[in-house]
Amino acid sequence: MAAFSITINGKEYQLEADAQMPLLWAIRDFAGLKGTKFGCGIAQCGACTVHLEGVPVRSCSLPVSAAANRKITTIEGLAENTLHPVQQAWIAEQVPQCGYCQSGQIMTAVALLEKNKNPTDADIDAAMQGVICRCGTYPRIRKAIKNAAGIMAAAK
Amino acid sequence: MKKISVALALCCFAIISSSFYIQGFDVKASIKRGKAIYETQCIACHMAQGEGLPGAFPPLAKSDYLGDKNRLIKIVLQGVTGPMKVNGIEYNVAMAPVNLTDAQTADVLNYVLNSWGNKGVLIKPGDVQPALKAKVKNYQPNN
Repeated sequence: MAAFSITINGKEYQLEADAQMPLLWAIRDFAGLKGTKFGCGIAQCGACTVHLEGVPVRSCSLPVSAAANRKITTIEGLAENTLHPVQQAWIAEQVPQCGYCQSGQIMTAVALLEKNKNPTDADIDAAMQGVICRCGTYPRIRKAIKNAAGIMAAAK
Repeated sequence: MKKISVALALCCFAIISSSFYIQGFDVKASIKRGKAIYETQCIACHMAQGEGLPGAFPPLAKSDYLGDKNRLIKIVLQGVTGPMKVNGIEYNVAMAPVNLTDAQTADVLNYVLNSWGNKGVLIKPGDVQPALKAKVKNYQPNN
């Protein structure tokens, strides 16, 4: 056990934990932010994706010690008053079916749009392929990402 | 004499123009296919430039862990677990096996072995099955 200070969505949390404890445990059980989901636990499905310094990472496989003193953003921290354009597009396109994977999908999509303002179908498929949706909502995910790109371009 | 020099010139041309073909294998195309596989299967942990995540996932860029071809193939297809030391730093995170064909395994490894300053050996699809049967030191599969 060791003491860690982790910053999630701009808020600092102090916790005592094993260095190898996954970051996801810190997010859900210590910080109480339940928007990030546990899927496979072995970095294969993407449901637990959060941003570490803006880069999407699998929080189920990332030891909390590696995330200490670094900036973590979860689905709750994407936007403050209004929803993030990707979240708005998600609603507009009615993307989720069961919704379990959606916070991982959205976090991955946000990271894609930060790098690539106008992704093609191929760009979207490449960036999103590692995030699995059991309901198979992939066509709507792709549509929503394009919609979000439009919202973001219009807001500029 | 003239005939010989023409033949020689043709030979030289063939060798130069096919410098990316090694024994009938198009390395450049393999690396390109491998990049697409990397970006969907590996990037979430090993990151876009192969830098890994300090304290969590070992780097592939300029890594001192890439020497044993058989071990690399096994890690991709059978995963890996237990402690390992990469570039002097201890890591202990399990990696799940990746579901790839022999050709895809060769492609993704050729991309890793020839990117971010790595200058590695070539892996062909035919190397994959023998590697899985080979005995490798300091390796614990995760399947």
